[in-house]
Amino acid sequence: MASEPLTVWRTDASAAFDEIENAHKAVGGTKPGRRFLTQQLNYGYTMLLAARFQGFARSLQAQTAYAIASGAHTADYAEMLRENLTSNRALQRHNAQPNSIKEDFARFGLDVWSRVDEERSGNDERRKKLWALITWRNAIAHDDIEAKLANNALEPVAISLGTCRGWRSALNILATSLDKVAADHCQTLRLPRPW
Amino acid sequence: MPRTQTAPADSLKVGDHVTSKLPAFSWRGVIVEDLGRAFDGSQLFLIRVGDEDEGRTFDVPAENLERITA
Repeated sequence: MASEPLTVWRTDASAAFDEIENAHKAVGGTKPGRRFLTQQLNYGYTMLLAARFQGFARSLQAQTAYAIASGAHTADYAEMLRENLTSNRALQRHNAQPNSIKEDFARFGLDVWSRVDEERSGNDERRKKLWALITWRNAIAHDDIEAKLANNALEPVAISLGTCRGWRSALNILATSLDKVAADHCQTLRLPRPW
Repeated sequence: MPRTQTAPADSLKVGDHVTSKLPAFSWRGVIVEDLGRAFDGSQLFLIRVGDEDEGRTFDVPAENLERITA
């Protein structure tokens, strides 16, 4: 069973990513200007991947906090726990870079990336891809791609459709691992498995 | 004149001014985001207490919220 945020990631978010892929196909041909159009689509794809993953991670943190607080023995105690576990989340203010996710899930006593790395081989490399995605997202959003490229701060140095597909694939697996690790942690806390 | 009235949980929406139904809490805030359903079906909202820039945000299930009327 998957959490609601993972279900939304696999359906709504995936459908949105597919729309960008379809737009790529629609911008066919060899006319001058196609490269510019596809570049803008790739930048849009990058922004969308980062935005939807932030939404997923924040929602998963909210669901996990709710599950943990539901273990309290009074309604007031549960509310106090919920407020404090969700108060001013990093994911509310920042992108879903790995340190924001780490900070917000640490409120549950969970070293989330250690568990995610243990959960599936290759997740440490996928986390590096998440960093690359977020770095590119910020460069696009703040219009400082050239400055960052000059400082060798962007890896890869250009975004293609293949780059976006690689990020998407990495995020799909990270989302699945995060979902499982969060549910596992509820059980570690001797609470019912929420999903 | 009554300061608050109980609203059905499914009628709450972003922008509503709310307080907690629970006696231990006395904050007054505004709903800033509908977070969807929790795994048990409860509706979750993100609440902000205080100014837009410096306020505190946190999650509250709809059943614990009471709309504040003018």
